[in-house]
Amino acid sequence: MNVKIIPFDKFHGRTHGTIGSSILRAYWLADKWDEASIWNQGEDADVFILQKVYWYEWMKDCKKPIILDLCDPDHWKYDKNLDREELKVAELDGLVDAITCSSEALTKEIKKYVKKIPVITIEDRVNLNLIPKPKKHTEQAEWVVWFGYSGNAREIFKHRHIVDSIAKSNLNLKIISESRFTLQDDFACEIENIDFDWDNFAYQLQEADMVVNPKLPTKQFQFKSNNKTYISWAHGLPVANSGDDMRRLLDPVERQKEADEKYELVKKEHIIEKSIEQYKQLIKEICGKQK
Amino acid sequence: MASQTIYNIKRKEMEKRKLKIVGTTWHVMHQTRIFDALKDDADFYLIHNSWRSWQRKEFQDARPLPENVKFVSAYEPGKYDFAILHIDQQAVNTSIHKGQIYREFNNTIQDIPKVVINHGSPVYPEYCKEVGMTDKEAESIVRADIRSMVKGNKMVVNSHKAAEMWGWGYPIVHGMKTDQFYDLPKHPRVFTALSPGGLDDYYNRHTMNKVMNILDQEYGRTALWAKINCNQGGDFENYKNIMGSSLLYLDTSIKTPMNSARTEAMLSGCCVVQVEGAHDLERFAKDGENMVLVKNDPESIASVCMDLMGERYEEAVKIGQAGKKMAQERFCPEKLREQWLAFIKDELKLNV
Repeated sequence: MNVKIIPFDKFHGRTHGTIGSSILRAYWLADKWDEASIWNQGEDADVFILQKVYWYEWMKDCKKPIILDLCDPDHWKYDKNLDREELKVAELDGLVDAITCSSEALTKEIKKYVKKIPVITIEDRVNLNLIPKPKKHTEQAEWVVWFGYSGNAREIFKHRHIVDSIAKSNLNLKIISESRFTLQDDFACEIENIDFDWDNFAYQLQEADMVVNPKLPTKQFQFKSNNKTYISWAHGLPVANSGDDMRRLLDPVERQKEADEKYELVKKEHIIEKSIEQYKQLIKEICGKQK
Repeated sequence: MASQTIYNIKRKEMEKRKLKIVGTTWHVMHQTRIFDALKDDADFYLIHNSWRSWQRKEFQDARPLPENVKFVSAYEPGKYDFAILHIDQQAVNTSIHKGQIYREFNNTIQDIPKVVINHGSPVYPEYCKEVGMTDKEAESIVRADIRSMVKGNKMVVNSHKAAEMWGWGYPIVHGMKTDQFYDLPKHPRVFTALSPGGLDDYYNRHTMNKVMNILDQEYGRTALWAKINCNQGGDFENYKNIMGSSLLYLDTSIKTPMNSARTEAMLSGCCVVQVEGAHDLERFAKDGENMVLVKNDPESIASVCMDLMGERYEEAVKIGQAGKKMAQERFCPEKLREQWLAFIKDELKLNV
């Protein structure tokens, strides 16, 4: 079986490493899966996985099974001619053989519109081969870290209670993102901005003591996967979703206990090998079916 | 005797069989002409690539696709006679996606001869500007990088001058259907289809911008520039109508090989106003007879255009007609076919 993965970043000519979902859902997968590799222009395969790539014209000509992998609620597109949002997924039923989604919420949403082909959740999972050993916690916590797309940082930290919780716990905030984050108001703790770069991401993350990862009740956030949580756990960092969590995790013994528990959970449930098994099962299901 | 007969039959079958040429989308106008010229000799298989503006729809919208062209999703070894790939000087820049597209196709296709059409010239001062190189130094680096990228493949270039500038390459000059353009009554108007963005020096866009400004500011005449102030959507019919009804076609570029829009303008009966020094002019251009050659000076170009649109209108129409005749003879599909078949036979050693 020869599986080729077309990552979003490569398809759109983006610099490698700038699209987190491509790293997690394409490169980490290909690294661990013997039968899979990253697609190059013109290459054929037994099965294609298109990571967030809506390549309709190619899909029409491709006779091989195609799995479309989604990780964002971008199944709405703005149609300039109609001046309204139009469902992209409606066009996909019949063009692809299966759809995978990074969260249950996204799967549920896609299933509303796609009825003829399998739609399943394959969570974002971690490739432990590519992550250093988990951090050891010995000191009282000083730094809380947030990482991700700067647009999301603005969305999260405009909520004053999150910022206040960090300040009340006497923690400082480190933000690892592709662009600098600043707060309009005075903030009672230090903010350090770090440019996101996969080469030093693990080091920067493990320099902090815990990750802050609040969930927001917005449309965008309801479809988000838990990748930030699993990545943090895989690096040995506990995740604080609230002020109470932060205060509890100030103590190094408590943090270490939580980090150990979560690391074991990652090894059991959230390693990329699990995703590979799911893909193999899905491929078995769709192979042989005539498109 | 029998074996000789079988051999002859097989040979005839081979001779009758159309070539199967694989490639990918790149320069729609250029490629469409090759498809047209070799319509009786070859079938073309275009593998989709990920460049956004080279998708099938964009390709078809720009120029109608002939019947001997088919899109395919992937390369299949053993199915084709040879491949045509494309590059230009920007392919050396690894931050630009199109170089990556060439590299990957070049790696994917391994079992057949590959022909690389190099659409550009080594003029790419932007490439090394950040590290403070001179234009000449940049050209030298571009030349070396392209040589390394093309290594092992045959390189075709679009003008004799381009072959000279690169230092190697097989020139095949374009040819196109001579009857597909509209020679309409001519409005005293300047039209150009010079590429609208990027590579300012290569296209000599500084001069074009200044001429446009002078015509507008000093003479109150708005020149039309495809994709800038007219035909923004790239509709081919609209393009042919605008071009065919324009008296003058202005081309300021001097470092680009054989601009195809200029030939299209000639076939539309436009009087071409061309800045001196452009590729291969000595081979076909006669100043004042089939083209008007001008110095690279925006003031004088604007002034010449105004004269041609005014007192010299009749003369401009006459020059346009002579240009059309020359282009019909020189840049026709038959000529393009001859060049390609000679190349395939001589360089690729394939029966055609």
